[in-house]
Amino acid sequence: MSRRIRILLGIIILIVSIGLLIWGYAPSLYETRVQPIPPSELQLPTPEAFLPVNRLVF
Amino acid sequence: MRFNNRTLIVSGLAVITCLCALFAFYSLSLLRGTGGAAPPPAATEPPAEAEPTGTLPSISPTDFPAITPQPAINESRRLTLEFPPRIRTGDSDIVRLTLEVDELSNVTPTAQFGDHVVTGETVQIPNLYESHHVIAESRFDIAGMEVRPPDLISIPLAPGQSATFSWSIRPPETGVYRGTIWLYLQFVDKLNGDESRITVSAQIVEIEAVNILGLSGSFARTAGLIGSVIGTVIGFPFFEDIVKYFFRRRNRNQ
Repeated sequence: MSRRIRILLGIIILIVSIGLLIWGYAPSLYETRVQPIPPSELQLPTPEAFLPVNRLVF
Repeated sequence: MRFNNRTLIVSGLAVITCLCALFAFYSLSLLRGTGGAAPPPAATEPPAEAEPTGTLPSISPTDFPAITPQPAINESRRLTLEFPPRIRTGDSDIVRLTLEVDELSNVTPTAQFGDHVVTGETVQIPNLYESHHVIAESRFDIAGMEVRPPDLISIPLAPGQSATFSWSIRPPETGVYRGTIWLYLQFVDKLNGDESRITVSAQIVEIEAVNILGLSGSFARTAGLIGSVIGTVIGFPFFEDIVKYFFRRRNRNQ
């Protein structure tokens, strides 16, 4: 009987420990975000950027 | 007493009259003043065209001077952000931001209206790399989490080359951490050294720090290792039975 309890206890400890090891060594999942940037957003800041559009006179 | 009542009534009427007069004066001044908003046009009316005032010069479309295109980077780029949305408490991980050249991009401006596709002419835009030094700068702002390096990272940008920014992060305790990854481009004029800066991207990042049974990542690994040894030693009879089973099976086959 004590042999069975000992085996059961050993298996439980082993399972929990292996679970901890798997959780501890599992690689992180990465989230990837891709954002296209057109050339128009890679320009020098123009003076128009400082003037509200409704103030422009055409 | 009677005189007092009469005096009180007269005084009350006088105060009410004064208040009414003040309110009327205040309302009129609001309507007439420059700060008063003009009544909005009725919804059914077509929007009235703005009439040129005497102070504003009227410019016909032909009066526009020839517009010189602003120097620009003549390449489409792609910004790729990689980060772990979930991380073990006490563990470190990497957040990576890459600004690379988008090879498949179409730089020619194209507009589509229904079934018609209008393709614009290619405009010769002066190359910004020829007139300016272009520096990509990035910073990761996140409260409560250890970030290395915490300061601004600067990488000179060359035509056709990508720039990669990396941060090492480590959450001290469990919780949800929110931060922003900023990307700037700094232009330094090669002739006069004038500097200008634009913000290209500000991406909000949410990282959750987790643990298991209150154990951090390193503690869970240590506990798992020790527990495996203990479990193996305690459950040794189990292994003994397995070994015996295999030996018996092998003997039967022979």
